[in-house]
Amino acid sequence: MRDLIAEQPGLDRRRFVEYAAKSLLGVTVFSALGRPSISAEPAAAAAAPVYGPGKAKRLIYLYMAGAMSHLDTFDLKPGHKNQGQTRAIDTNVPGIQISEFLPGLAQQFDKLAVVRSLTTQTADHEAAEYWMRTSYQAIATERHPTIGPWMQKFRGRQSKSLPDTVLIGAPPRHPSAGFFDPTFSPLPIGDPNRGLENTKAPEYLTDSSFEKRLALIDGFDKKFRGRVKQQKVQAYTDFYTEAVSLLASSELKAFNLNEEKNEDRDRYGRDSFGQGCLLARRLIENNVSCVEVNCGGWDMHANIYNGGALPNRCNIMDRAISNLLKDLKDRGLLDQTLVVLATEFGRSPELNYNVGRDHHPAVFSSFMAGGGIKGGQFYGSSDAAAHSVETDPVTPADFNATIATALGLSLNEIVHSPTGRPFKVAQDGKPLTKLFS
Amino acid sequence: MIRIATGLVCGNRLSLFSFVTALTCCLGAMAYAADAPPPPPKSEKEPRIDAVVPGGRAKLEKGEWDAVIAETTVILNGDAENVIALLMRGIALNGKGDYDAAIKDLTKASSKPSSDLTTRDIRADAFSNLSVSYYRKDKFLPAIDNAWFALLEKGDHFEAHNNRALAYIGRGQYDKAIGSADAAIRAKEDFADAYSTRGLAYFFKNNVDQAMKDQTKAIELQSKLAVAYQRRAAVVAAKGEFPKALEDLDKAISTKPDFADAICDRACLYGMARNLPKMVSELDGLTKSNPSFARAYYHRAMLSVDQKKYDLSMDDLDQAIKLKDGFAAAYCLRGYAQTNRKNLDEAVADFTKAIESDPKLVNAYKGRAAAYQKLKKAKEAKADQDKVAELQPTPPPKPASNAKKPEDPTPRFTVSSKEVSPAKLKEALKSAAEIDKLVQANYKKFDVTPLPKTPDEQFLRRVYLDVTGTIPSYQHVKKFRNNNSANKRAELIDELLNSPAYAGNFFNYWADVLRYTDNLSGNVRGEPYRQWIKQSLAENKPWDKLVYEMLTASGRVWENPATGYFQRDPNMPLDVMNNTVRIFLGTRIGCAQCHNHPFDRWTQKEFYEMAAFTFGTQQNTHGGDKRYWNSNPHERLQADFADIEQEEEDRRNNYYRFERMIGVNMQIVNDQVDRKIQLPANYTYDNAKPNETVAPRTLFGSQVSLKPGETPRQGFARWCTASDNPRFAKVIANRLWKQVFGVGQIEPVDDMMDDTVAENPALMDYLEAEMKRLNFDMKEYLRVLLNTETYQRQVCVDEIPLGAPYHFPGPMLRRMSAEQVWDSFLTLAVVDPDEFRELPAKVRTDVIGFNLDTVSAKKVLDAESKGSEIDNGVNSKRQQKYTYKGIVLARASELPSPVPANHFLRSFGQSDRELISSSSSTGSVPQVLFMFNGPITHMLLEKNSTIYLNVVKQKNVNDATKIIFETILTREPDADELALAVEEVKRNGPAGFGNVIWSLVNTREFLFIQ
Repeated sequence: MRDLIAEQPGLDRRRFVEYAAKSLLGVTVFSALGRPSISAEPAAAAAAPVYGPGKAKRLIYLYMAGAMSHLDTFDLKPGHKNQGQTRAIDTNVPGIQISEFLPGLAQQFDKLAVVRSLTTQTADHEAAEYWMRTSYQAIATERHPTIGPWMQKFRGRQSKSLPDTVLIGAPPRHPSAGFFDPTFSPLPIGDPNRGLENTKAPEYLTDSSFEKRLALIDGFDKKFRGRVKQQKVQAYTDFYTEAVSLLASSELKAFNLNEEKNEDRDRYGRDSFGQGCLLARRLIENNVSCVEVNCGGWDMHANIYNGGALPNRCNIMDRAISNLLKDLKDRGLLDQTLVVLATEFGRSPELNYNVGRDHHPAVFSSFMAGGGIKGGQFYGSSDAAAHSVETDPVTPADFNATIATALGLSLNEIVHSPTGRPFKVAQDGKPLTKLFS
Repeated sequence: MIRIATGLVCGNRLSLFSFVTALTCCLGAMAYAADAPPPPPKSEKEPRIDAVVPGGRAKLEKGEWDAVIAETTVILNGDAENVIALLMRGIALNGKGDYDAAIKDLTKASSKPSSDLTTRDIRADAFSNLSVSYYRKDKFLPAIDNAWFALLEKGDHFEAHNNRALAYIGRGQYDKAIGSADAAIRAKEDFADAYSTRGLAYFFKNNVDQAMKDQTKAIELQSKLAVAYQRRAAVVAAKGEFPKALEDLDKAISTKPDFADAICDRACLYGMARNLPKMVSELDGLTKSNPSFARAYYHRAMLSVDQKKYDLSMDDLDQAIKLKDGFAAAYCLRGYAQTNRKNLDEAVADFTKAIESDPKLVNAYKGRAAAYQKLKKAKEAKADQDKVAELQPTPPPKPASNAKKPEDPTPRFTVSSKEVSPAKLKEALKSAAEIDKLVQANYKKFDVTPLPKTPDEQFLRRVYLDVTGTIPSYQHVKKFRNNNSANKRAELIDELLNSPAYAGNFFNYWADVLRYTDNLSGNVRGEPYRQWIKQSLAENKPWDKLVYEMLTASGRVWENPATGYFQRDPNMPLDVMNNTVRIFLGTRIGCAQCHNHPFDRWTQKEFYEMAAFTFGTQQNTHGGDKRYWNSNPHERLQADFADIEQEEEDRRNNYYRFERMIGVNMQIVNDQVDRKIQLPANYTYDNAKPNETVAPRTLFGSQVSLKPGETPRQGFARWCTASDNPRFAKVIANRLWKQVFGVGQIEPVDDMMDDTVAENPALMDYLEAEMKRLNFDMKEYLRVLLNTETYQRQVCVDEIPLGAPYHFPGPMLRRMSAEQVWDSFLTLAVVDPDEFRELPAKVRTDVIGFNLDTVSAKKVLDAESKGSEIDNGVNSKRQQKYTYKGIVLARASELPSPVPANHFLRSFGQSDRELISSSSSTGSVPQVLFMFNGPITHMLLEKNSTIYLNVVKQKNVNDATKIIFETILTREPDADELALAVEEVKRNGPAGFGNVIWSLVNTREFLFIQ
């Protein structure tokens, strides 16, 4: 077991990189996270963004659970009786306005491509959420994979020590790896503040005693492993090796938000979504392919303005995402990282008698940013009452096809489930090519 | 009040206590008279007000009511819809005390429909002032509601928050009042009125310090706030500081000379200072200057009663009651006076009136009880005395300091097992030998060398895991080793099949197959179903009977728990049939749901014909269903709900709870035999037309002809579970074979086709025949399999190439299931891992189930609250004792289904219950992290863990080390292992034991079943 650690290619590679960086670039301190040094940043920032499909290497998927109101966020209808109390403010793109509750995103609008003509077929949270995440209607006999596992399917695993997909604050009903085998399973993180659980060894255990324990495992298990020559036993040995490597790896720190400065943590907001977005950034910086962060609490049926529900929720979302986009940009990561905001449906344009909005699948809004997406634009539109799609309807499958296209995943490749049924990454969705130019 | 009056009478002079209490009560009666000035319109609306009535705002502030009324009336004569004029006139009418007229204007102003912000601000003000109108009329509920309506329009409307707080005080809801006053203060930090209101609420909660602080703060913020002085006077009087109280009251009255309540309070204070003439003269003055002020008469009457001048008190009391509707205290006092005047019937009438106005007025019940007694109405007197006892509960006796804590009385759900029959053992062994013979025939045929017999300890571990789902404890290991019987293996098999753990283990298996979830359709909880499954397994209900019950069950889940099967897939009639055929008949017809099956012979039409059997089966009913209700319970209950006196906010919030609870009681699995299935509109094959109705027809085997009175579903169930169904017996025989041997005779177990051939067809035939011979007795069938030589051979350790046939030289090596890993850890860590059992479903369903024909809306709501209380309170409380680092240390079969995604069980592959048999036994990094550092691993090394307790009993390192091996791996260490472990312990002392334990549970050997 001790040898296993020494043999870790990941460790060797990292040591090599660190060594190379120190000797060749003249950098004295190399961040534990492998983040580019300060001197590298201007170059990255100076490079003009390149739009187009297939540019994205990684995905941050931000899910607004409970259905985000389109009228109060990205699809305002100033002057219309349906507008309610939300007022429009200018963004950093001339002529474009969004909700006053999103001042941070207004200043990042040049990075956003907002789709305002999404439409879905059910007003049931669970069913619509499933549709949005998988492109398929939920059925009792099959479970469809979500985008992270599809990325792994097409591109292979990206990180030796970290999982490819991490879900932060996802509900248990998340379709997750669907019918793919468990090696595609995303790693669930419940509370971003706690990060990856069970990585902390008891305090009495020093590094050397951990190694001693590993040697003991090896000693006690040698005969069994010698006798039983089966793949599934060997697979476990591999997982042990991987776990040991993960525990020893500096990448583990990616899960630990305490590594961040307090002011940075405050900047994202100390709520679970804010901290989740910060964790997402850290994981992306460490080569995790896909991170999903969930933001619940959008299912507001009553008293949305004065009760504070809507302004508060918008504030949580705005603070976290605008800081995330800013940081990704500053670190030169935005061009290769697709940031998607999604939700299951919109909310009824007419305020109900409790001054709330109910479920509304006919039209709703979401956005994409970075990863080859051209920002500063609206795609599609709703009618004057924000009731139905007026131009360019987009289905969940179309939306997901666009995500897949940005990531360079083949829309036509058919993958069979274990039951023999054929499936595609975004069913028959058509990508919104306008978002890339 | 009687108590006070009695104090006054008996003492024959005004005792300190009685008067403080009297004052408090007065304040209680007076609270709603507390003078909240009508909220002045906010400054930002000034231009609008002044645009309608020039100088209107100033006039309102100065209280020039008549001028405002005159001017707005002129405007309204021209434009009856002018909301600003309506609002202003409403405020002025409130100021003049014409509340009914104010209500008319304000209601109109508040109901103008528009969502533009200006109108909504005005609406908010109108609602807030409406709240004042109702409050002044002592109508607290509408006062609360209107304040809330104002807040719906404008969440930071601080006057509305304060008005709501006052109205809560009026209703005696002090905590809510404090909450609302807090909200008012949050909305406006320097809002003196809100501090004063909150102080009043604290005063009634007997929190004198906080009351004092709040009133003082209010006075600091606004030195001319008369009510704050008046209320502070009550607080200092309660502290016995009369001069200070007098000072405050003087200040209140000088600030506001017509402040009747303050004058009245001062009169009472004089009384407390035994200055009765002064008290009387003050009250006399008050009745002259403010003849409509009821309290003055009441207090004067109280003095008369105190002096036993009952006749004299009558006029004052009559007057007080005339002036103030529902003056409970006055009725109560008059009742007392009437009692003493020997007018007993009148006394009873007065007390009754008092109770009507204030059903919590203890003294009224006391008084009436006394009057009844004098009237010789013992029964009525008793009822009132009981009520007094109920309202004044005696404080619970202090528990004796060394009294033993009572055992947790919360019931646990346990199964009662049916044991296997000793008489049938011989038969079972004969069948086992027959199976061995058939297996051996294939050895010869395929040139397979059988593996040697397992050593005892390996057999012990394997059979424990296969039957009870956990490794044996050290005590079990010792017991088995010390058993010298020649039949010890067969004996152990019987013992384990008879144990309750058998049901838990197989429940875990079936929960995966059946996708059992604790939340079924329509908010129905699945516990009755899950407990029924466990009990059915424990009592060894024959498989055909068990399935027949699931497939045919009708009713509510707590009346007929087997309905849980259909409740799992509400409104998915096609999926239900698809799943049913897959689970019980091992056949996948799902593809044919949308098109002819590409790999099997089923056509889409055949799928629909199968689905036709259960298409009419519904999971819920509706109010109009005459089969279940006399009259529409939904309509009746909604009308009843509308009649419940409750806050509007509560009404709206409660409505969902209310509807949900009715919904739960309407979740009744039933059959609508007239509901016919049609082919889809896009049906493309030429053997039928789109939308054509199809009749039920079975896929294979015999056709079903329905018996008289039989529903299509019952007919289907009869066909499905029949002994001559070509697949039913085969599927269960194969499933259980796989559970025991690790791989089925047919794989996968639920995808048989016409041309499917078993590994050993003769054996498969025999197994199927055995299943039928045993009448689907699962324990007996398992007993046969477990007693075979084949089962008791060592596992195959070689790699078996994917798809290669396995000829059973011994069972297959398997990783433990998630539940087996978890339960084995518990066996190592927890002294009695079987102690925690889930709550019997009945505890909850007895509460939430009701007769919809007779239940009241109030009962429905109560049922919901009590149900939630059990879910949140009772359950979490009983779990506390078994919780370690946030996880409940209970057997997997006792935990929620599904458990959260980050639970140990899920990490090890327990199903999320979404799809049939979706558990997995592959590894992952998080699993290893759980094993390394998870809470359950920590628990193992705690001082009170089972393994720790086993180890500390040993005298030397060698023995202790052996015990560790036997506890974790069910075997002794060999010489090398012993040396390694002993060296570790010698080097590190007790910590070395910990390292050995930690390392052993982290071996592959621990995780895999040999």
